[in-house]
This record gives sequence, C-alpha cells and structure tokens, in this order.
Amino acid sequence: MATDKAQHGNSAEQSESKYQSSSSNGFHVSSKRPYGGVAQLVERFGRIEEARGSIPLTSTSGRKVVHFPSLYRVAAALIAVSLTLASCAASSLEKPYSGLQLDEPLPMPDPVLVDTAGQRFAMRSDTQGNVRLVYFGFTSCPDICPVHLEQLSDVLARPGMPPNVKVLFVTVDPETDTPNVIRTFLDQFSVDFIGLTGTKERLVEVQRQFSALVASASTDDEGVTNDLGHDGRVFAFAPDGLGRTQYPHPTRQTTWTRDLPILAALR
Amino acid sequence: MRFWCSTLEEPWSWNFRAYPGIWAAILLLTCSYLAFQRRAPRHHEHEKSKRRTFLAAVALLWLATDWPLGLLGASYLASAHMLQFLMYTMAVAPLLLLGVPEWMARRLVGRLRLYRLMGRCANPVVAGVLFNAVLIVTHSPWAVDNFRGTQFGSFAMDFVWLIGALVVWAPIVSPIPEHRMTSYPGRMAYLFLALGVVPAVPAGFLTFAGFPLYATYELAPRVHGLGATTDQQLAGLVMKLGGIPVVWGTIVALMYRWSEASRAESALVRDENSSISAPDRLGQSSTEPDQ
Repeated sequence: MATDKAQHGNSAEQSESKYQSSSSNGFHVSSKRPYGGVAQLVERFGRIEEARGSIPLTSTSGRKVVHFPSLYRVAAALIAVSLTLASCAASSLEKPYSGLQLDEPLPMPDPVLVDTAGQRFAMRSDTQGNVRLVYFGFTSCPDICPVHLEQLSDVLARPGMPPNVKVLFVTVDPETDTPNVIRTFLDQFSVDFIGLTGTKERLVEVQRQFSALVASASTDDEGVTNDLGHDGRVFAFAPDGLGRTQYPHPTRQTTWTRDLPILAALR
Repeated sequence: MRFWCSTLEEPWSWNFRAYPGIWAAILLLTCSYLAFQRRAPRHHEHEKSKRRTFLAAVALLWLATDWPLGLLGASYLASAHMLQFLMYTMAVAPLLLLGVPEWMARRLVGRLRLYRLMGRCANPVVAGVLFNAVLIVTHSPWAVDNFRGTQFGSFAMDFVWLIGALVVWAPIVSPIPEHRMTSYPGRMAYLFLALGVVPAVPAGFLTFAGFPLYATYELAPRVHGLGATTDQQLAGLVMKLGGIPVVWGTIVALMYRWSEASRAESALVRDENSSISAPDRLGQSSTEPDQ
C-alpha cells in the first residue's frame, strides 16, 4: 500500500518541490537582536517607512497613530489583484485539457499483447480512430484501480459522450491476472473495456514504452511481500495517435466529461 | 490511532477501529448527566423514564458517530453521511431534549448563563433559519471535502450538527417550558417548514445532480461495489424520505393532542355552561309562577 501511494501521480512531489524552492527564496535577516525574526522585520519595515514619513509609528504624545493607506494605494492594489485574476482566468482559458498536459505530444507506442479472448492485440493498430485510455493496474488492487475504472464506466455511459473511446486495461500482475480473471474484473465496470496481458518481461517493456512507472511489489524488513505498487495515471491518446494529457489518481468525473469530447475530435 | 472518524485513503474493511475521542465524548456526556441527576432536588429523584430517554439518545449518538457508520460517513459513502445526519437530527436531538428534566436544564443554563441565548435560539424563526443554514453549509461540497478530511474538522462537523439539531427541536420539546411554542397549529407548521420543506431542496440536488458532488465520496475506494453516483442518489433519498416518519409522526401526535385539548376545553365550557344555566333555569322556574 505504501508503495502504491508513493508512486501514484508525481504531481504531489512536484508541488512539494515547488514550495521548497519558493521558500528558499525568502530573504534573510541578521540575527543580532535577541528577539525573533518577525519582530525584527516589523521593526525594520517600520523604520524604513518612518524614514519616508508615510507611517509615523508614534506621535509626539506617545500614543500610536494609525494612518489608513492612501486611496492611490488601495486603487493600485485593486488593479494588481484584478490583473492577477484576469491573467489566471486567461491562462485557464488557454489550457485545453483539465488533465495533466504534456509539454510535447507523444506518439502512442504499438506493442502487441494478448487480450482476454486469448487473441493477439496491437494496442495502437487495433484501436485506430478511437481515443485510447491506457491504464496499468491489477485486478486485486484494493483502491485506485476500481475507482478509476468505475469513474470511466460512469462517464462513458453518460449521454453526449463520444462513442469512439477505448479503455485498455493492462495488467501488471500477469501471474494472478489470467485472461479470465481480467475479464471477470472488467465486466464489473463495462463489458467494452479491453483487458490485456503478456509475459512479465513483456509487460515491463510495455510500461517503459509508455513512460509509466514500472510496477513492483514492495517487501518489508521481514521479507514479506506487500501490495503491488504501480503507476496511477491513465495515459490518454487521441484518435490521431498522439498523447497530450495524462490523468493521475484522483481524477473527477467532471474532468473526464470535459476532456473526452475534445480528445475524440482530434483526428 | 485516530481520535475521531475522518477520511481514510485505504480500502474499506469491516475490521474494527477504535476512536477513543468518541468514547471519551460519550462517556463525558453520560457521566455528567448521571452526576447531575444525583443532585436532583426533592420530588425529582425518580425520573426513570427521563433517564432512559437520555441514555437511549446517547446510545444513538454513539451509534451514529463511531465505527462503522461514523467511518463510512466520514470517508466512503455519502449515503452513510446522510444517515448519520438524519440520526442526529431526527432521533438524537429530540431524545436528548426529552431526557433532560426541567430542573436540570434550568440549573445548567443558569450556571452557563445561557438562558437568554437559549430563549432567542428557541424562537421558531431563528431556530428554523439556524438549522437550515447549518444543513446547507455542512452539506456543501466544500465543507464536506475539507472538514471530513481531518479529525478535528470531522469532530467540528458532528458537533455543529448536534447543536443545529438541538436548536431546531427546542421550540417543540425544550425542557424549559417557556421556550416551547404554545400553539399547536404553530408547532405543526414549524415542523413542516423547518424539518420537512427546506431540507428537501439539498436532497433534490443530491438526487438529481448530474455528477457526484463530493470528491471525498467520488474518489473513495468502493464499498461493496456501490458506485459514486448511485451512492449520492441514495443519499438524496435518505435525506428526503428519512425524516418523514419522525416529522409527520410528530405532526400527527400534535394534531391528536390538539384535538384532545380542544375536546377537553369544549367539555369544560359545556360543564361551565350547564352549571351556570342550571341555577338560571331554577331562577326562571321560580319566577314562572308569578307570571
């Protein structure tokens, strides 16, 4: 479970590193004074402003005088805030997908695996003209695999959804997930979902081709094998064969409903 | 170990989980009540039915808050969340109020200097608006997704539910008589509006929403294969239909009491009239011979 969570979506790590870098940009205050940094900052800021004459910290009578910021400052602040909001809105309008957008579109690999009927199945060639949603998981996954598949099943059953969407479920646990087991598992969600398997080595190779994190079982200190960790992303490829977005766990139904018609139109 | 039920990211299992914070809260409530009851004034020592009612309310509160329903509601199922709310509102709160004797309520309110505040909150308009504000805010996707994620937030939500439910029932069953509404039709109309009509609006949203509203339940590991949309529709039905037996049962009981009271009143008036008219008749008959 621990590995499962650690590998699900790298967005958390990215955001964490972003926060770290922004915090490292903070300016430093010499610690000559015995009291804390905030107090020093307040005092320092006060002195600068006092020197400029805009904020008198104390009046001649010794009582604190608080001046309201001038109207110009308020107006400038409002303009700055509205500009920021407008730029945010513009950037969100520019973004065509709600999922994680790739910098460069990636062509879909075309590995050949075995479907649940025991037939050879080429992931790209046999799904021409469709949106392909590729997901690497396993049937005994206790949390995110059923959630992703349930979400997709719910979304694809909605009116107005494009009919040319294929969900390709590739097992990462071929020893347990026989074609029959995969079929039974997928039928809980949709009979149209395509289940694929292969040899262990072949499946590792396929995961690498899709730039997915290769699934691995974690073992604890006593050598006991725990849950299987795997990539939690759904790799989306438009009918033109290019992958522009990915959908990590958790992805809400509203995201899918917005993006799938856009992807389906890219021929 | 967690002290209060909150969102978990692991799959649901029927393995027991202990929440010591909930046990402590339940124990505190029970012990305070029993300790208070020991200091009952004379002629009030034997209020067994009140004690039973209060303990039943506490048991229901425990059932609604603790594992498994508490955890299911905090983490996995919108329908369980709604069932919890329904238990708080329709069972726990009225039973708690019915289980508190008048002397205890007066003593408690006096000690905490809450008499005026409670009086204001027991105003039907204030109570109805407060309860429905709590209902709408605590069932908004923002509140559920943010508050249920932490133990303290989850505790705060449960606490606010209980307070809101106590407030909404106060005009009907407050232990302090002057805080109760006196008119039967007024009480019935209040119950219908505050607990019947307004909650149907968010229930309708849940039942007929195109998408799962709460990320908490939409993205939670499935419980016995129950889908997020079906679960949300179930939650809407629980909210819409679950309260009907209690609200309408209470309205029917009030109507019956009203008719009984009217009957008793008219009987009293008849008796009074007959007792007044008897001497009159005697008086009339006594004068008749003179005419």
